[in-house]
Amino acid sequence: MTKISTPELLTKCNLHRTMLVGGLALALLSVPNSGHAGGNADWSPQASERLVRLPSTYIQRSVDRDFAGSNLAAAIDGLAKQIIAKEQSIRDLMAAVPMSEGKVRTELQHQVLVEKRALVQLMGERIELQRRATKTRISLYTSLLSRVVSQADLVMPKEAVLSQAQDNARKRLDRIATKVDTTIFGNQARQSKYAQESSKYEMAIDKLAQKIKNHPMNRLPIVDGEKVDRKIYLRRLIQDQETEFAFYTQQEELLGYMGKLVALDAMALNEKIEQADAGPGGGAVKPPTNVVVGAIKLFLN
Amino acid sequence: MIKVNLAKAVIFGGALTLMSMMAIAGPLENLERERAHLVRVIMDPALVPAERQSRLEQAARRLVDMERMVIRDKDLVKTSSPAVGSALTNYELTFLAHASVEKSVSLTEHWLNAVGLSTSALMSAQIGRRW
Repeated sequence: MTKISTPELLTKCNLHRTMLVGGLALALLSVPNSGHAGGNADWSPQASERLVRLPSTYIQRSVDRDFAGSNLAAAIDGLAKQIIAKEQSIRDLMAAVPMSEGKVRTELQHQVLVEKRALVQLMGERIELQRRATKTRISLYTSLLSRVVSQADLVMPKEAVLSQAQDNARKRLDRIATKVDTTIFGNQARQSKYAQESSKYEMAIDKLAQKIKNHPMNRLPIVDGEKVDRKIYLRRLIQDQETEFAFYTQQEELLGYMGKLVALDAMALNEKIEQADAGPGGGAVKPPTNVVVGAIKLFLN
Repeated sequence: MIKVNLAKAVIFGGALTLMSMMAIAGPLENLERERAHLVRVIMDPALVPAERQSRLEQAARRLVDMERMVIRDKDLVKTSSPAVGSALTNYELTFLAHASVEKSVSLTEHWLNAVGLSTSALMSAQIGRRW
């Protein structure tokens, strides 16, 4: 069954399309605004004792793993897939536009704009979710840092001074230990039981300490080519996340420009449709300039 | 019967108290006791030089071990005792054996120098009334 389009119906369709495009243009002026992105997508990691005690190099990996299993990561991933699909759809539509004519072409152009608008919204939502994730990471790392700092502060200042004095004394004593053994004990055989036993333990302790030092779980993280302690490493992680946060503002600005461009395209399309509806003369009803002259006739008869 | 039990309890309590008192003596206290013994040997006028030398050598060996025990004791700094602070900041007097070898002087000479009794100070001293 062929559908016959009457002139009234066609006019109605065009009017409807014009309204749609106009509405689209208005809607795009407010893009991007995705305050409720992600719905209940959430990620709430805890600065647990395990995380505090974890070697520095593994903190980030552990946080990444935790994030990967969260609703928030799933939502971001879902949005990323939708964005890819939307981009492909726009590319297909844009490729089809030059090959079409007349109303179909207008319809395709309209579809391109609708898809672009949806893409801008999706990207806005993704940025919002990523911002939420970055914010959570910053607060997690800050919490970890405060716990690491407070643990270091638990050492009493007096104890730290005594520990330093003992360290200095140990270094001085170790430097002279061999000479003392030779001077006071003479040879190995004359050494006391304590000296003999303790040297065995010391050697074993040294070996174990060396193994601990070289253990992959105990390696200090390297930032910019230098080894850094846990506090500095966490501060660097926070800094990185804050940099990431700054990028989102720029990305949103970009989306704003994209949205405005789509809105302008929509207005241009709207204008084009209106012109087409009005016919070759432009369809504009010019106000008669000779109203008074015409009225004269009424008075002359 | 009750009397016997009471006596046992008193003995047991006394033994516990004695054990806890013994447990208090750490490496630093032992070192201080040994050093006090060494000073007594140095100053004992009843000892002939050979015997003094022999006793000093024995004391030096014990001192070396005890000084190393003190320096390796990680719990030492956790006790906020003034004695610990004083011991760790006064290396010359606390670690007598090691410090004397470091300076290549005898134990006696090192101790006398550390307490301010140098040969020049003794030689310039005069007998007189302190006003």
